[in-house]
Amino acid sequence: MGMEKGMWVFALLLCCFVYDGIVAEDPEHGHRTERISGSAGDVLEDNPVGRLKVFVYELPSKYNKKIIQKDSRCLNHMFAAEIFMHRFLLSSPVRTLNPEEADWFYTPVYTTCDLTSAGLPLPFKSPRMMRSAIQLIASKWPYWNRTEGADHFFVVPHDFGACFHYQEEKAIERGILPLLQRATLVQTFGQRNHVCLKEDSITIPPYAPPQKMHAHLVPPDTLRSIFVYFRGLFYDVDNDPEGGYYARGARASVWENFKDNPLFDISTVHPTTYYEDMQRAIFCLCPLGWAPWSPRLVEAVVFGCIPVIIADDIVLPFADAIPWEDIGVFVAEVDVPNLDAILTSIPPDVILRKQRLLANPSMKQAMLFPQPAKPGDAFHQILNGLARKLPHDKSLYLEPGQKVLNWTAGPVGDLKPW
Amino acid sequence: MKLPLFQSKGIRRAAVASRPPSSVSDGCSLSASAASSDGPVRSSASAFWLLLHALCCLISLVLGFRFSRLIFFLLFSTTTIYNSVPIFHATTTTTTTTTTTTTTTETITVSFHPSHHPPSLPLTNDTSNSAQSHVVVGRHGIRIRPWPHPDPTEVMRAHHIIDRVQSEQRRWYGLKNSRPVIVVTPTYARTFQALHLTGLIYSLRNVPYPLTWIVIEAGGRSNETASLLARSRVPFLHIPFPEKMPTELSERRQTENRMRLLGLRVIRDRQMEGIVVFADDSNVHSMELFDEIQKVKWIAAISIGILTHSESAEPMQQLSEEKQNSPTPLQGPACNSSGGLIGWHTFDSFPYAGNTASFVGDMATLLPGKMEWAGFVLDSRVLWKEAESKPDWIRDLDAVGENGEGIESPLALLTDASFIEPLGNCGKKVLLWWLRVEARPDSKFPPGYCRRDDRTIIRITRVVISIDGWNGLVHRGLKSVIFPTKRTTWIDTELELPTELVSKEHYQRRFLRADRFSRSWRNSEREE
Repeated sequence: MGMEKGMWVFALLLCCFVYDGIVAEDPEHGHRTERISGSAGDVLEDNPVGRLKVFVYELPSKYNKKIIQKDSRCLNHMFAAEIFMHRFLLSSPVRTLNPEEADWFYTPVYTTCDLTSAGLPLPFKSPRMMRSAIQLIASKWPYWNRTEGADHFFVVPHDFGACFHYQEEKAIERGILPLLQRATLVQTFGQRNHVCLKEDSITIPPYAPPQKMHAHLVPPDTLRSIFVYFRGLFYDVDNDPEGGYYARGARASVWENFKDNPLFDISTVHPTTYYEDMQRAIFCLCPLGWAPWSPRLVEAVVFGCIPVIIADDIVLPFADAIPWEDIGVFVAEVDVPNLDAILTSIPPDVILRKQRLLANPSMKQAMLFPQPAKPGDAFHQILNGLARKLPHDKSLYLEPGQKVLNWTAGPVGDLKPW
Repeated sequence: MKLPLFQSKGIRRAAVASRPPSSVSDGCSLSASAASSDGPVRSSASAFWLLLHALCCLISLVLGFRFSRLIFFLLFSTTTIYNSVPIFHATTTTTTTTTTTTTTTETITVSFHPSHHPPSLPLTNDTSNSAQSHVVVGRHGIRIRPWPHPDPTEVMRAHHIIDRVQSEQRRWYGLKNSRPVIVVTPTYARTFQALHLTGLIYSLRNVPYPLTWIVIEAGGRSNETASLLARSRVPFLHIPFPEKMPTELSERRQTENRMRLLGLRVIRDRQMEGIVVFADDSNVHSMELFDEIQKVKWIAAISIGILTHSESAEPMQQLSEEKQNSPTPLQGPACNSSGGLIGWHTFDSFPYAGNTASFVGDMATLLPGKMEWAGFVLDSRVLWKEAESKPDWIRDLDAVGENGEGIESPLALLTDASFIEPLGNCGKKVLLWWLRVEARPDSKFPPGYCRRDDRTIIRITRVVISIDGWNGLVHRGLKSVIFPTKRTTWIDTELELPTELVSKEHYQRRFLRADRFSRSWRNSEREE
């Protein structure tokens, strides 16, 4: 009898231990941040060093250094990724000086650095500049002709990428530069089923100055008291006096529907405490402007504010590595008048989970271009993206003398030398 | 002139086959169609067209938009309509909600609203290649819902979300070991008690830490106070104090000090744990105060903003100008550059010399004392008889306030005032506001809240809140206004004060002026 009782007690104790073991493994409630689990999230922490080799072409300085010397504002605007990518690659361990063993070839041409007096880049000479650079590398090195650019990548961070125009209609009309049809494009623009987004492009975040953002951090115990925050234009009266073109009317719709709503802290006035205010807000609106992308997304992620993305069919940066659906809120442009109902009906648990995902430091790091480069930052994510495309398909390599690209395609103005 | 109608090149390209484009570029004129028609009977045809033109213009005037364009579009671009019929339906429904400038363009912008099932739109931009975006380039309408104002249920839900987020933040980043808060409030039943206590109750209900509220009432427990406390949903202790609250201000201060001391004795007797805050019922407290006081070790001082107001009605404009130019006076700790306490900022009563109130209801500025109790917070262990590691610069509570006298400020509890910790960024942050607003002691309304039903509103004289017009909207700003009421017999009565308190000249100087002023006010308001 004693033995049986002992056995029962032992079994009971065993069950208790097992049960405790299971219960104790509940990870979510105990943690302040949450790791983006699954295959997508792990990819953020990959190290590209050793997985690929990049050869950087030596172009004459008129394509890169001289342009910066002429106008150094290019280093601070949101298109500065092209310049910093070049600098990063020059001193990165993935760089190789032997082009025979390179997997990818990079051409450092700064096409988004022809600025107006106000600081906005003019894209009119960019196609010619790019074309001239490609002609140079095609004549000086044999690697372009080997694949007609299929193992080359270019950074084109302008509004509509390699379509090289700021106006969407004209950009669509031009299409991607014909010479870049086979190359991999690293661009900020991304919209599904759009002419200016190639299938295998890598979407990157726009450049936002990391030091400036980190200088404005507030203590994490500052309570978030703003529900929705946005600062920016709603109507672009200079370029779109009638209204209805800018942002496809979505920003104007936000203003008209929510200008007197106390939950929405929205205005065109840009305060000095812009970064601090974002850290006190729960949702930050990231609506489209003339192009669907904006640096607001980067700022929202860095400051822990849940991005509310109002841009139909947008392709967000590193979409294959970052699960944006879990992190941000997507609102269709038709649903903008119901934005308050949509945001208030999100269950608080979901909101808390999104905030935990955003608090993950690897998430924030992946959106930034720090100098010098840090592990897991946007430079490394670009290299990871390039590494994931390796090895190159045998069919990309052309027979000698085989020509696929049409060097005379495109508007006549593009064919002029730069 | 730019055409808002035909922005998309696609439409232009598709429609060009069926319509002469030049007809649209003119205004109301039908010259192109007239040219194309080219009838033999020129004069009658032109007369007919002229008539039609005039008719179109008249209709346009009535409708408010260019009627002729609509007609031509509908008449001459049948092909586009066929392809875009489902979208056309979509646009007509949305027009009713949009309130942008020209309604014409809304009806005509056919393909510009992305519908739920995106049909392949041959009209639109991508004539050059096959990739078609779901979203369309061109002019879109601005969607505005019929009632673009906040919905209260949604606002409440948003506040609930904000609450959850903040409590989660507090859980992660806030204090791990927060101490409960003990609030000591001396009060007495009077006209404005409900006003002040309700504000204080709301402040205390928002405090995120466990709270005990010790309310000491002068004149014993009254029903009004008891009912307010019962409804407050804050854990409280209602302690009676036998004396009634005097009218004379200096005596009033002493009584309040004795009441606070009684409260401190209660804390000691019950061995309550926590941080003691002295919240007078008419003061205004910020929520950051309760977060900041968690940092106290033994005794700390914080900055109070002093909101004085003048009861005198005449030199009104001058005082408000002065107030705009001078900064708000503070009372609080002063620090050196390394954050150590070196002294105190006190209220400068010099500008008010000779014009200070001596009793409540006096027509002069009500000033704070040298060191207000509200500017100090203590840990309750300061009051206990035996507390471990209690420093020797703290005196025992029994040693002070013997013989039933009060103590002026918590500084009397210490032998050495230099050990006081300055809080709130070393006194730079104002965490609470001192304010004394009372009705006249002879205000004939029963203590409690005002009834608005028969417009018998309490006569509020000498009030900090200014009342605008007849509705009682409260403005910021310092004005004294008299509410006209149905029964206006009070305005002309004299203030009934104990005669030993006030000398005759004092009375004449102060109150006759007031009555003249009140009469002139009443007359001026009647004139409006």
